[in-house]
Amino acid sequence: MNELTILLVEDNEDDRFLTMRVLKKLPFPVRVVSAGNGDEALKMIAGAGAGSLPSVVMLDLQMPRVGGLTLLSRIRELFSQEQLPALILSSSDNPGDIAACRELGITAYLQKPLELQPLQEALALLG
Amino acid sequence: MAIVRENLTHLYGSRIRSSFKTRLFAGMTAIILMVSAVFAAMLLYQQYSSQKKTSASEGELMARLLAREVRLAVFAGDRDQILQAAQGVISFPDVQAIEVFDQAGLLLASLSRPQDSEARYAEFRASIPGLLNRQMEQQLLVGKNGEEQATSAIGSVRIVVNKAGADRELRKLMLMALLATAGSLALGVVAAYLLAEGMARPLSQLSVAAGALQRGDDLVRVEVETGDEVGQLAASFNSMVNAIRERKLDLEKALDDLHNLNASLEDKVGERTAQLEDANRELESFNYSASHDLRAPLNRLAGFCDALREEYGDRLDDQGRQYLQRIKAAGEQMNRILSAMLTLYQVQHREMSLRCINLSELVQAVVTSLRDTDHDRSVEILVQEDVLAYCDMKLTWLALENILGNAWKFTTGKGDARIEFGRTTIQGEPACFVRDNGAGFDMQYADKLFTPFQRLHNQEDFPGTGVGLAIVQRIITRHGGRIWMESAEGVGTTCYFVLPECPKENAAEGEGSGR
Repeated sequence: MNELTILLVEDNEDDRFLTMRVLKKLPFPVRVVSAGNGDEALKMIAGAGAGSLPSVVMLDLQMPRVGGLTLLSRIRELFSQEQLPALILSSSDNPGDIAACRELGITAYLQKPLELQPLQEALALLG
Repeated sequence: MAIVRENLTHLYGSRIRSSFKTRLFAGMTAIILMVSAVFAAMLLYQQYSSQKKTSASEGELMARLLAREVRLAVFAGDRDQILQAAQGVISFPDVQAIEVFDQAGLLLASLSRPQDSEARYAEFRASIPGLLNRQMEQQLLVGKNGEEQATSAIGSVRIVVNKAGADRELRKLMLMALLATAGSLALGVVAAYLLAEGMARPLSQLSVAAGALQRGDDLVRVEVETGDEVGQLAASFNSMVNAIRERKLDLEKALDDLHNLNASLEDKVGERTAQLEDANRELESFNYSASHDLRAPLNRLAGFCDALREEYGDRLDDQGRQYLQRIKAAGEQMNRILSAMLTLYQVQHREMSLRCINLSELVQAVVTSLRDTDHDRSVEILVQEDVLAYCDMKLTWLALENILGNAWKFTTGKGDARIEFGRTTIQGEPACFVRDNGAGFDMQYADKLFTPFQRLHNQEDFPGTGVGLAIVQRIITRHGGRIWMESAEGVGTTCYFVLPECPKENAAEGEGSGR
């Protein structure tokens, strides 16, 4: 089985630290590639060949300039949900945000602070 | 419909006009006819009688003149002379025959022309006087016969006059009189017609103008031709039309002003509403983003609390771990408040779909979920069946959740906790109520109940966000209802609220579908 590669798109250093902390608790090894904003993440995804795509992209919604929703819609212009699954990690529980994400195509919507159990359940959905 | 009526009026009006003209014309013609007839009759009579008199006096004069002429001849018995005198008289064209008699009545001389069978004749006699004096001369001319004349007569004359000439004259006169009458009659009729036409025309003009006015032409004018009553009527009509037009213009102007005023008022209202909506939107979006943006650092706080506990928990003593626990609890409380703020925002913006809902069943469902989250509590619940209201399901659920949640919360610690739901009538108005026998509150703070973040109890005794009743009040208000509380400390609280009643035809359906 290939190593799970996660592209974590998170602008806040503290949040990135807390998320990484939970990811490390996973019972299997993961490789985390980090992007500090939407532009950076988009460049990494567009520049990657078909073979070097991450297994899943995990993105925050509230980011400066290119927000999470914009980023997700740009990603979906390039890759389908099957090609590149997405996990949302947000502190918003606004039904409007959740519905907009689901419409664009996501695997799961996770609430901050991230906890191990919901993360494991979400990753299980990737198969 | 209106066209038919107008046509009828038009027809009726023209009939009135023609009949007025006709009546006037006929009346005047009749009067002229009568006057002419009387005039002609009088003329004829006068002509006839004067002609008759003339011809009679002419005959008599001729007879008397002849009697005087032949007096000496008769006296002398000279027949030739008598004849000679008679010849002179008969030379008048109308004299038909002359006879002269002596005292004894014997015919002395006779002259005649051939008789005309169709002609009428008049006979004049005069006696031949024996004496001739001044008196007699006078009598001869004046035509008065004295008594003594008869006694002194020496003979008599008889003249037969043909009346054909006189008749002809009379007929000519009659014809002239008739022609004159006919002429004057014709002139009179023409004059009457012109007069009638002249009198009726302004009236028909008035009628036409009135018709035009009725059809809305307020610029119509009637020409004032005379200074008489009809002229005055026309002038009054014109000034009436003026007055109507002025009034109409005033009315139109007033309407226009009103319209403009309305429009500007609407503009102003629209402007103010837009400003208000802007302000509201700003406030709400502030509320939304504030509650949203506050969450991220709050979650970081919670996350680092977890990290600290997990990674450094064994190096802290019990008090240190308790502090950590308290930090986390404070964060969670703040999270609840932020959630409530978001709910407050969403309650205001949710689209309502109204239908008839069985509140009793909703109350039962909420109580069930309360029991599920709090197994240890034993609370007596009394629910009146089939209380209906016309409302939005989700919002009403949220409201009942908060009201019943309060009742549940404030009866904590009561041994015989009881919560009652039902319907009652307050001052003639039907209202629902939720009654508990919980802690209650001091009614002097009742006005603070529905203000967000205003709490009447300590967080330690009864935890809460302070937003619950504000949410409930917004929900009830959005349904057009109202909510109020009655309470006494240590006795309990009753929450009253009014929701719209189900429409009659929906009641049965709502009740049925609710089960």
